[in-house]
Amino acid sequence: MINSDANRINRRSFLRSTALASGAVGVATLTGGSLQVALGASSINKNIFVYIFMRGGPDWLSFITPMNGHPSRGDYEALRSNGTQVPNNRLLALADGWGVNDFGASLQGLFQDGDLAIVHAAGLPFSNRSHFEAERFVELGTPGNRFTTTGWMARHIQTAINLPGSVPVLGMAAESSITLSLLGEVSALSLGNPAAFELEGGNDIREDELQIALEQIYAQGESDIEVSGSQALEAVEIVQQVLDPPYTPANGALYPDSDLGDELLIIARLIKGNTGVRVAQADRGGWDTHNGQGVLSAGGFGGRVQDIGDSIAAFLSDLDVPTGEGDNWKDRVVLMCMGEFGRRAFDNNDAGTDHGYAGNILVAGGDAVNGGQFYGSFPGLADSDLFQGADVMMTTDYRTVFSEMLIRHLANPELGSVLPGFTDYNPLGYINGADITPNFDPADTISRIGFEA
Amino acid sequence: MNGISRRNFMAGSASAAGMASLAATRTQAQVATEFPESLFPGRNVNRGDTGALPPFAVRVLNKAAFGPARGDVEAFDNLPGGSDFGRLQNWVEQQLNPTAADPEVDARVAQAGSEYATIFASDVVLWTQFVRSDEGSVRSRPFSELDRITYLRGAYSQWQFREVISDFWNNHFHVYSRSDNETRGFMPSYQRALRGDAAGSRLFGNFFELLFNSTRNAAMLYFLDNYRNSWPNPNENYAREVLELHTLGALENYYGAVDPSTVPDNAFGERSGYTEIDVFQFARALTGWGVADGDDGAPDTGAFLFRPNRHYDEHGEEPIQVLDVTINTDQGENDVIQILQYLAEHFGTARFIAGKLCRRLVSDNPPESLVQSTAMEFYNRRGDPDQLREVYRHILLSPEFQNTWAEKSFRPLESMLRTWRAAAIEFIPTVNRPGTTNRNNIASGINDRLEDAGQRPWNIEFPTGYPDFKAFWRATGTLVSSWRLVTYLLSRRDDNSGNMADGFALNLAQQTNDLLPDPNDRTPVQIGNTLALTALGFTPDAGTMVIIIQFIAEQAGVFINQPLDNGAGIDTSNLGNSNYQRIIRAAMALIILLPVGQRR
Repeated sequence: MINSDANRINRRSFLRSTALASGAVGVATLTGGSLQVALGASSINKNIFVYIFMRGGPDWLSFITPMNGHPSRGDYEALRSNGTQVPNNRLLALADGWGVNDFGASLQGLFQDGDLAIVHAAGLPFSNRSHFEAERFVELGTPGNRFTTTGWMARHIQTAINLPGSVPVLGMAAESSITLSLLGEVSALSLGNPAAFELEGGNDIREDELQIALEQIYAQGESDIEVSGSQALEAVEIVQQVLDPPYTPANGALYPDSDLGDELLIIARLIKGNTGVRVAQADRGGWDTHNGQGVLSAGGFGGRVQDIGDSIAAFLSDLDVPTGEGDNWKDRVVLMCMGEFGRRAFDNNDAGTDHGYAGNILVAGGDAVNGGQFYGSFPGLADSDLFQGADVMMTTDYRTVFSEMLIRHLANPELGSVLPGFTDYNPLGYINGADITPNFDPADTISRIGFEA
Repeated sequence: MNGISRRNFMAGSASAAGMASLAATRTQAQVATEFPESLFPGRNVNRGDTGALPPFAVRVLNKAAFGPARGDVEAFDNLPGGSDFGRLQNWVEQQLNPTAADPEVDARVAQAGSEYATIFASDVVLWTQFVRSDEGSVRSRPFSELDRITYLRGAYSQWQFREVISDFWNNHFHVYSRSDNETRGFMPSYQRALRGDAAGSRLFGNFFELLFNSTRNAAMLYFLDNYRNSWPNPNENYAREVLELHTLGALENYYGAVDPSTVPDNAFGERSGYTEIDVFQFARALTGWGVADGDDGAPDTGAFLFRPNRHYDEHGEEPIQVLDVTINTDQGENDVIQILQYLAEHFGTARFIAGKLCRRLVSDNPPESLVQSTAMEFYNRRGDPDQLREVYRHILLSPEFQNTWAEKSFRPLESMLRTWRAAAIEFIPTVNRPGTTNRNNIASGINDRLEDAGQRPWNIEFPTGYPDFKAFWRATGTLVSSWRLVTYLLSRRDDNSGNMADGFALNLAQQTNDLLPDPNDRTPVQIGNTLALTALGFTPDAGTMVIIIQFIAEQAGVFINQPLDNGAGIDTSNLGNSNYQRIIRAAMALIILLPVGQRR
């Protein structure tokens, strides 16, 4: 009987070895000795970046909020009179008079442990209140350029010279589709529901034989549909080998029963499964709260705050185990959460908030993150402090945050390619890592990565 | 980078350049391997992604229909006209004038009894009996039925272009069906608002009518937060999305937070785009729009309701200015209607919609000449009652439509429907099996798998609708899930008692034998050729055919010209879940999943 997935993988391996190979195909094997990572070259960077995109634009003032005694608390209360105010007794103290919405107790814990840093008032270099455009400007890494064809994380992969030349999953999105940040990186894996990440039908459709035939055929062609198909079929093998065995998160880590929890769990397993993940993205939507925001509701904004906090806490806890190379997975990771913009400083008549400008960026991790403190400056909430009298003003260009992570964590100095047009490398200090001289030169950028500088 | 190579790049995927650069920027010394085998070698992507060029009829049916069903290619080739173009003109003329009657669909709807009742239920019934129900399963029933009738229509409608273009407008005016109870239970009404009547006339009418009707349906009003928009703090969401997604387009015509007087005029003397001020002003105009939802003493019917006491001008505020439209005096809901009329007739809207239509029907990067001429057709016919019909005709009869191939590939929903049609599956997808209270599990299975593949109808939470560029859908996750759905469909079978599970009928072995009645003809060569021709509508190139034929031969253990009955354990008269049946199913899946079966 061939019923378990492990057996099916073995069966396919057997079938492959006996197939009348009209074109032999290289197939992933993660078994036995091949799992031993041959990392000789010291130039290889092993650090990992995990990007959580909070699609929709979170109301950061309901997430990280001035508490009583903070100079902006009075303005905050005046601006939030239509049902979106977080009362002082529902805030958990962080530092500098700021508190986190009490649904974010996990985040307070991370902050106190030094595993969470928070950047104030980050945003695009100029305001854009369209989801569509602001997402592109952030994730493509080219604010103002509407037609960039590659994402900033894709360009990192494409320009970093310290990445291993061949690993199964260098970049991934824990989504069924590829994200904008990874757009244009052909090797990036997109993986939403692992249970659906295979063909179906079993012996009724000779599934194993069909899959092998497709592997062989797709491996021969060089059109983009054939390259995509070939990689998809190879990814099926890898994902099954890593994700099929039963798994218990380390250290009793409890992932929330949510999309984000599921996604971070998959990312953690692929990281710990030595598939070579260096950059990964997960999305957490639901932040576009124009009405009935529910800042104190488990079914609304509050629940999403909790989901973010509990998911990150579980992820870091699960990774808090040795890599087998003398360090700890958690210490290789920097995890960053941000949306395309913050929301309007004042609420609307529907107990909601409209699109705004700047917002926080959350950064979590082990040794790589100088946590337990805020970075950047908060511009204030007085009428004259607000952008157009309406939104939290931007004080830190989001590319300042990206560039520090790129240089100090991923050790990729190619800022001119990853963040073209950004020439102001001015680290905030939230990453624990060494500086290297940035290369702001976008020379040859067009031919390499496909945008007009 | 010179113009030519730039164009070549833009015509292709960014990924090609990405891989090339990867190879170019790493030296051997810098490459360490974590694994012994190279899994994602930087193969050069050959831009000639065409394979052999299929016959004209197949190209048309893959691009303007959900692929050919049995007999469609022959029917196309038998049209009068005397040439490919003449036959195309005749086909387009038929498809642009659909009638309410759609026999293949109507018969199955009738056979389903009450399973599609909510599709035809009145708005007030949907609202009072479904939206307002205390039971979640009742509230969800209407959108569940809508998913299923969408599959039924896509698979069987003779008005294939209507269904293709209906899907286009459903995405253009997208409502996330699970956004609110008011969307779940009301989706059939929203679908009617876009289609107009049983013939789908609104899809072929004037764009303003589509836009206008989308703005006043409760599903849209709830999804984009305009159901209780009120002065003095208007909700900007809907105003922004109408400008950004439904009319002018953000990429093309959004100027951001600038003074509107600094926005230049376009060639037609119109202010060429919108600013943050226009968004806010439009949001002001939209205050008071909402739904008769029982609030404020209103009836609870789900009908559109304008509430003057929530409208800005009840409060003595300044005139409204949106682009070139100035509204000085209180005109109630006509404020918005004037703005919508202006936006529908704006050249920026013509250009935005033309670009999207060309992307859907021709190419991810449609030729500028076609987009511009289509935009002019849209603009020049802005006052015509059949504006959209003329715009579609312009695209479908263009040389660009006729001469492009493989610029697109089937997205998951399209792949599912093309499989359904290619394999001649007989199935009525319903919530329950017709005449029973048992769930129709195959219909649910299709839904779940389409959701995994990322293209279940009305199921993306963002108001953009589903993306329409192939690089997005070729991501590993969507691709594998999309293929999974094909293998799921083709491997459904009866329960060995003769009853087809959930009324799903697909006997590919029987189909093959009907075409090859003499067992001596049932050789890998003949079976391969027959299946490919019936599924794809043409015989692929020799290289592809060799692959298909060899696969069948290997599975059956025979030579390519040997009857399958000579193989071990193969009995081609056994039409149950036999080895023969399984080989035929696998061969059909292979044909559909090969690159040649994926292109459009």
